[in-house]
Formats: sequence, structure tokens, C-alpha cells
Amino acid sequence: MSLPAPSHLDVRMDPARHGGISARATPSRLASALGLLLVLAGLAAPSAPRAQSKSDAFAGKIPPVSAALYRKAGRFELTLSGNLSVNDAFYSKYFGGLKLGYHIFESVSVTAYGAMGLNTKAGSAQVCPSGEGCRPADRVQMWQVPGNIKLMAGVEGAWAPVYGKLNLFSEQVAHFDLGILHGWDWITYQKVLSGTQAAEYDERGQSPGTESTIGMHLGLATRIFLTESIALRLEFRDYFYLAKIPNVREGRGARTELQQQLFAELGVSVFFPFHNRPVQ
Amino acid sequence: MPTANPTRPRTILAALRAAAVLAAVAGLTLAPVARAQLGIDLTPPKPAAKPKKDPARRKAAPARPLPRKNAPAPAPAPAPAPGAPDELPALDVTKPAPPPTAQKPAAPARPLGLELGKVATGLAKEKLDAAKKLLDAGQAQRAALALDEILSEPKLAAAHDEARYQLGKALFKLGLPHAALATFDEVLDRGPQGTRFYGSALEWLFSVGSRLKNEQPLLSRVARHAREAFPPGHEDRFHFLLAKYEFERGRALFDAGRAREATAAWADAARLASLVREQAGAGDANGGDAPASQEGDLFARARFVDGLVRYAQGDDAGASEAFKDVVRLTNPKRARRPDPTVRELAFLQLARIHYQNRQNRYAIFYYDKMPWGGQNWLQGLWEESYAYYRIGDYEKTLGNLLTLQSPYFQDEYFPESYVLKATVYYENCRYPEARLVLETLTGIYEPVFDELNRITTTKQTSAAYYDVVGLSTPASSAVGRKIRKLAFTDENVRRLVESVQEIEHELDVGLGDRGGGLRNTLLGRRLQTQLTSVKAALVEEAGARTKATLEYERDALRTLLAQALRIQIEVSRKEREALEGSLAAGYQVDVVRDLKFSYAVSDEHLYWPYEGEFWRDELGTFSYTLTKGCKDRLPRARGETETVKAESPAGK
Repeated sequence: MSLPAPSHLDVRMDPARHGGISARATPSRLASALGLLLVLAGLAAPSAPRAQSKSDAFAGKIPPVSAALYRKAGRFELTLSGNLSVNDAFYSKYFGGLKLGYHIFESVSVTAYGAMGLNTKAGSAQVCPSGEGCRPADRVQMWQVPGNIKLMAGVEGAWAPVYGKLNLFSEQVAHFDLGILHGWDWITYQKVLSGTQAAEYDERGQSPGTESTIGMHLGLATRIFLTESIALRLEFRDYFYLAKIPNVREGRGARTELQQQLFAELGVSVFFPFHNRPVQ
Repeated sequence: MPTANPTRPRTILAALRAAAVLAAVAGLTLAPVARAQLGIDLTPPKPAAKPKKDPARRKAAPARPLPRKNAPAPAPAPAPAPGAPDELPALDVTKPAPPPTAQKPAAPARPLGLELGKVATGLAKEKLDAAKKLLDAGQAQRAALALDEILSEPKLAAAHDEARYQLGKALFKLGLPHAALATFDEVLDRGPQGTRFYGSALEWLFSVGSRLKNEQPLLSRVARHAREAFPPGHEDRFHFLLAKYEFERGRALFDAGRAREATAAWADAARLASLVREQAGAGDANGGDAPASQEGDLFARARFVDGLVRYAQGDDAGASEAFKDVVRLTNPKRARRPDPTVRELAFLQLARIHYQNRQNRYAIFYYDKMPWGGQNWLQGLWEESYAYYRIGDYEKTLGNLLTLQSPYFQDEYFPESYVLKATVYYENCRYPEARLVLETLTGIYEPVFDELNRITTTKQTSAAYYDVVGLSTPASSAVGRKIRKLAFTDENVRRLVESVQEIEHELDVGLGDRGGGLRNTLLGRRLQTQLTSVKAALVEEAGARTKATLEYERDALRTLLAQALRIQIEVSRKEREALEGSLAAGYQVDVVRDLKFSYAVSDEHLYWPYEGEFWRDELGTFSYTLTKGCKDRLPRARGETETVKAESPAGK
């Protein structure tokens, strides 16, 4: 994603919303057009001299932000999301998901979620036999590789200590938060077959069944607030789960291996009640 | 229609209030008692007693006390009275007036006079040496108990002099500074001829006193003891403290209607301040065994006192030069010892002097120099908004008021800020906004007025005010918190409360939580009695001052609310006139028109539109863009919506 010219963009963040320091990033930090999230993540750790801004005069005495326009504490958040797997060699996954979260504090929330959808063969799933040209892996070969996730559901906790605002062209101001999340998942994936099993299933005209396991995920999440009750969500999550892989040691049985799956998620959130709760 | 300047800055009210408080207290204490006026001695200073020769003392004294070389000068001819308080906000002094005389607890019965000038020998020396060894080994509690044991034994009278002094040191090392001061008092009360440790005790007095949150106990002790002699190496500090004391004394005398004596006191203060040498700013000399005191640039502080004196004497130009000197001396890039507190105060005083002389842009310049977020920053911001108002910069006036009325400072007491805001809107024909502001004022401050009325009309002792106003702990209600802040507008109240809290800490933690059962020993019980007595006196004093402050503010608030009502009537009249104009014309007559405006900020700033959210680092940078105003004010039009912007230094 390209960003506006540096001179027209400024970000200020409240990285420790509850009594910590307030820091402001200069536009030069945003020069490199990486993804917005990565930029924000980078800015979350301002250099020490910058952290010693004039804000320090009030540090510990008054909070960095008061009368915040967008407050989450005590509100529910319902999110409709689209998930896209990132950097998967075998399957590209296009999931739809639904989440329901509750914000215990301004920066802490718990969420239950579920997501499922389509798995398609990734462009990189190629077979290159010696002496022949490469060709896309066929259906039977794809049965022998992991990553065909059918369903994910779980609970997660999130900590979003950063609240900030973006100044676009000195005209528009976008408010966002930034945090990390961690959760436990129930993951259902297509059983991974050995070469022999795959051939047998193919002969019998069967499809591999599914297996389920418990996994966990870590992630980085940001919300861009559009109104008091609507926000855009952008998340990167890395899922970890154990799956039996029979082809690792051909003829010597399956071995359980740690699988890792990176997802990018874009969603739209609606907060209930629709308006900020009054500050206590 | 309201007058062009229907309100005065709150600081002016504060000045009147401060004057009234002092006058009221002075009125109560005008009896010819040596230490009237809350610990300030209002009697003319006596010439310093010529020290008698005492070869034995000179020989043995660890720090040779010097006779005071400069006795107070005779009162000069009356100087011009200081500027009327309604012309200039009250000048701050860094420290409050001395505490009540009751602060000095009664000394316990001791065998007096027997041990003077004697050096301990035999058993007394043995016991004393043992106690000192414990003290040197860091066993302060055991040392204190051993020293107290020596003091309670009449047979060891030869060692009492030193034991008393060492006990003060031990108590300080135990984290009991107020108890230590009381013990050093016992040493100092004997005078330079009565003890070998007079000079050393004075050194410790300076050292311990500089570590207290409220320096007032030190100030009154210096005025009491150090007139006779002071330890070498501490001349500058002595002169400075005494200058401060004399200035306060002069102010109290002036408020008590004794202008001639006040002038003499101020002259003495100026003379004492001038005795502080320039090299004193580099650091404290410390020849004795007391730890070095922790203070900023002493020379700069003395110049500050000099500035205050000059202002009090009506010499605005001289005061201004003195404050500029302070600014130069405390420049963080060149200062020998950083002293941001006095630097901030110097800027504030410079701004006020210019404001008084209607040099508003100079005043704004100095207000802007006050460090962001400093102790007096908010007060400066409020006063600056009046300077902006005077030059017609309504954008900055309203911007400053936005900071002042932000949720960050909702407990602060600035009722007049609403009147100023309403006036600005009124003058720009923004009648609905003016009405809303006035309604907000009454909504917030009428309950405050009712509560002030209730508190001040209820019969209760001065000490009861301490709890009723919740000086030690903030109240849970918004009104209660505001009233507490109001009480703290008297700097002396704040400092007294800090002292009370320090003593409570000494009682609860220093004595109570200490292992070894110090609290239940003879010494512990005696210290408890001493500290409780000091605390009671401070609570009484804080309560009395709070009472006076609240009574004054109650009356001021009544006036302000009445003033707001008058503006409200004017607003209604203007609205009615506009309506009648429309009826006569047969169509809607617009009272306001679009104004020419710009969002532009300087290259060094970034523009952040204000959307109702307050960011800490934007405080004080707001500028309200008036997009609509009176028809005849500005000719061009390009109005959309009203905006408020915050400017943030881009390079930071």
C-alpha cells in the first residue's frame, strides 16, 4: 500500500494508554511504503529521545488522551471478516469469519470466533519430476500435503495498548488502535495421506476425511475507527497446530509435525451499544 | 451591554484574595506579640547581639559560628507602595509565610545549663563514644536510643551538649526530619554561647530543611536562630533565606497596614539578597559534617527575591531587570545549576509586569516562555488568554480557554474563564454560544457556590476545615474536588498540607513501622508527642488559611455569577433586537456573517483539527478559528464550519 507524501502524514500514538508516555512519530519514519500495519508497528516503538517529548511534563499526572472519540470499554464488538492465507505453498485459503468480542477495558478484550471457507491449490504447488518440466500437482498429490484447513474456531484475548491518530494531508484524521492477540483454536483440517493411502483413496473414489486438533495463534491487530460504532479491522495471525504427516518418512509411519499458517484478515466491526459508554 | 472589559483575570482576584487573606489573618494577630502573623515576626528586628568572647567555645567548636556582620538597616523613607492588586496578579514567592509559632514543640524537661561548654569525660565520654560509634556504623536507631539514655541521665550532664546534637543527626538518619529539626532546635535555643554545637546544628538545619517539601520550618528557624551567628560556608544561604523571610514579613506588614515598617523590611530583604554572592549559584559550600543541601541556583533565587522586593517597592523596571537576570542565570544551556522552578516563576513575573503595564505582546512573549506543563503553566495560560483578549486575538483566547476547560483540568478552579469566553462570543455577536457558555458556568459553579456557602457558614473550628475540605485526600464529588483545588490556590495551604503529610509519614512509618519497638521507648513516645503537637499546629494553620480563602472566594464567586447574569441579560437584549430587526425588515436579518479565516499554521507546526478529543501534548496549542462574527468586523467571507486546531511542533 502506498502512502501519501511524508510531509502530509503524521501519526501520533498513545502507546500506553493508561498513564504511559505519549509519543509522536515524524513523517520521515513513514517514507518506506511497506504495509500500513508494519509501518504502524514500527512506529509503536519510537526512539528514546522522541519519547522524551514535552508530554513528559504531565506524564503520570494526567492520561495521554482524554475524552477519546472512540471508546471500547464495556462494549461488545461483532465482526464480519474475510481471511486470506499468506505464504502457503500448497493451499490458498479464502475464509469468511464471524467474531464476537467484549472489551473489558479500553485496551483488553476477549473474543470468540469462527471461520471457514474455500481452499484452492496454490500457484506454487508444482511437481517437477527429474527430466520433465514442472506441472501443477494433481488432486491425489495434494492429498499428501498439509494445510487444507476446513474450519477454525476459538477464543482469544487481545491487548491493544496503542491508540493513535493519523493525519492525512492535514485534512482527514483517522483514529486507530494497535495491539497484539493470542488465542486457542479448534482446527479442523483435511487428513494428510501417505502416497499409498492417497492412491488407494483415489482408486476407491474416496476423499480423505478430516482431523481436528487444538492449536494456538498469535497476531497483530489494528482497528481504524470510522464512526463511534463502526471500525475496520486488519489483522495478521499466525496459527500453530500439530498435524500427522505420513510422507515424512515413507514406510515408517506418520510423524506429528508443527504446522504454521499465516492469515491476513480484513473485517468490519460493529460495536454495541452504538455509542461510547460514559467514562467512569 | 457589558463593559469593554467586564471581567478581570482570575489572578487579579487571586491577588485581592491573597491580600485579603493576609489582612484578615494580620487583623486577628495584630496584638503586640513577638511572633504574630502566622509565625512571621512583625516586631522591628533587634540589633544582633554582640557575641561574648568565649575562648573555650572557640577552641572546641567544630564549626566556628560567626557573628552576624550586617544588622538590619534602619527603616528608610517610605517607598512607593506596590502596584494596586487589581492591576497585577499577585506575585508569587517561592515559599510561603512562616508557620505558626506553635510549630516549635515544647522542649522536654532536661537538666539545663550544667553542661555548657564542657567536654564529656569519664563514663559520660565512654557512653557518648559508644553511641557515636553506633551512629557511624549505620545503626541509627540504637544510637538514638543510647543518646537519649545519656540525655535522661543527669549524672552524664557533661555529655548532654553533644548527645543532643548527635541525637538530631541520628533522627535525621532514621528518616525523621521533623523530629530531627525539633532536636536541633533544642541545641540552637541555647544560643552560640550556650553550646559548642551551635554552628554544626545550624549546618544540619540547612541540610535537613532543604530536604523538606515545605521549606517554611527552615525559614522561621533561620530567622530565629541564625541572626546571632551562622556557620561559615553558609553565608549565602543564610542571607538568601533571611531575605526571603524579610520579604514575606514586609508583605505581611504591608497587608496589615503598616506600610512604613513594610518598606523597612523590604529594604532589609533587598540588602540581604544583595549579599548573596554570585559564586553561590555554583553550589553549596559545605564545611561541616551535614550533607550538602539540595537547592538550585542560590544566586538566581536571591535575584528573584530582589525582583519581588523591587516590584513591591514600585520599581517595575528594576524588578523586570532582576527577573531577566534570573532568566539568564537559569538558562539550561549555560546554568551552573539547573533551577527550572525559579526560571518558570521569573517568566511568569516578567509576563505579569508587562501585562500590568499594558504591554500585552511582551506579556504574551513571556507567558509563552513558561515551560509547558510546569507548575504554573496553567495559570500562565489563563492569564495569557486575557492578554490575547486585550489585543483582539480571539482565536488564541478561545484556544487557551479550551485547554483550561478540557477534561484534564475539570477539577481546576477557573470560573472566570467562562465569563471571558462568553464575553468573546458576545463581542463577536455569537449570542447562542455566549448563552450556552454562561449556562455552563452556572451549571458548574452554582453548586460550588452553594457548597462554599454551606462550609463557610457552618460554625466549626479552623482545624475542622482541614477535614471538611478534604485537604489531605481528594473528595469523591466533583464539587468537593473543585473546592479542594480552590483551597490550594493559596500556595501556603498546599505547603502546609505537604508538611502535615510528611509528619504523618514520620509518625506512621518513621516511628510506627520501624522495627525494634522504637515507638514504645521513652524517646519514641517523646517524639510522638512532639510530632503530634507540630502536626496539630500545622492543621490549625492550614484550616485557618483555607477558611479565609474559601470565604473570599465565596464572595468573589457570588460577584462573578451576578456578572454572568448581567451578561446573560445583555445577550437576551441583543437577541431580541435582532428579532425585532427581522420583523421590521420582513425577512431574516443575519446578525453574523462569514469571516475570513485560514487553517494555516507555521512551517514548524502541524495542523490537527480538533474533533472533541484531547491529546495531552496538544494542550496549550489550540487556536479557535472564528468563522462567523459580527457583520462589521471583517469584510470578506468564506465560512464553513467552526474549527479548532491544535498546533504541534513538527520537529519534535
